[in-house]
Amino acid sequence: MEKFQWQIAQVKAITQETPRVKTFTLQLPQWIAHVAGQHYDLRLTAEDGYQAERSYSIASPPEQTGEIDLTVELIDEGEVSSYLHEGIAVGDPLEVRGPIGGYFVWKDNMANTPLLLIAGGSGVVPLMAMLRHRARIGATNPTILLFSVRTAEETIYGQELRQLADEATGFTLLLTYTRQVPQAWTGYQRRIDRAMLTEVLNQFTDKPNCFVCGPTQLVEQVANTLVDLDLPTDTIRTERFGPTGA
Amino acid sequence: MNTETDAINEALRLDGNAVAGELQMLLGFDVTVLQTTCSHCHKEGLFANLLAYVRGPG
Repeated sequence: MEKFQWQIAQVKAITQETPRVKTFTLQLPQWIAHVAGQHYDLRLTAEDGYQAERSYSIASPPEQTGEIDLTVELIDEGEVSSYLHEGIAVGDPLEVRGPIGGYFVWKDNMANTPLLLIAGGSGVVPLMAMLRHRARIGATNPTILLFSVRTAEETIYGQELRQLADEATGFTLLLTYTRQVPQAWTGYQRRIDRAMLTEVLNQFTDKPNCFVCGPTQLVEQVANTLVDLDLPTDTIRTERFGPTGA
Repeated sequence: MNTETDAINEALRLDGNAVAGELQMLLGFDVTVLQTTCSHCHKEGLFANLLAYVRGPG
């Protein structure tokens, strides 16, 4: 196993995903194949030696070798995210370490089991790595992403998700708009609740593996409800992102 | 404690995933899949599911 250490990545590309979310493609001198769902730690060091560190999920699949995509939401007064959004340009160096975590991961031996992904806001990032990897390996297991977003404009990876859903590989995209509902929208338009989760679970014939990621309150409420709805606790994996942007 | 600080504390609450990098650096292995047992109530779980408060005041 390669040594786990900080390394200096170089920013290869910056993609504006939504008004408050950017993806940073980082080239890594010591790239290690990750498992979808894992994250990297990113460390900034000021001239006076002050350091700030945050964890960011990998959005790219392991098939994208030599580099990783980290998708970062701008958090108001967030010292790391605001620097990344406003102070970083293509070609800049960034200090990272990873990949990290063996719990919140979708492994290849899960590829034949139904999959329920539930995200709030930027919680979709590690789930996107799972969906991208799933597409690359040609999996066709029944898969649903239930994605809570405030507005259409703030739907991270919206276009790519709709394309994946159109490919008829067993993947269904279920959006729920919580703040501003697009015109003519007939789908969900409220926060994720018990009735919604019951309906979604009814779409599976077998119990799915569940991955829940997003703001802490959403993750805890959803996970508790899934347990209440008789899903075994060892099939529910959670990752709390803490507070999110406005 | 009041309702406002409770809400802030809840929003900032993270889990074992958030400290996995630091501990892997120190210990040399991934801790998130370690089995845990609460010394108080004996509830069993995984390290990744433990609650983590990693940001100080301010």
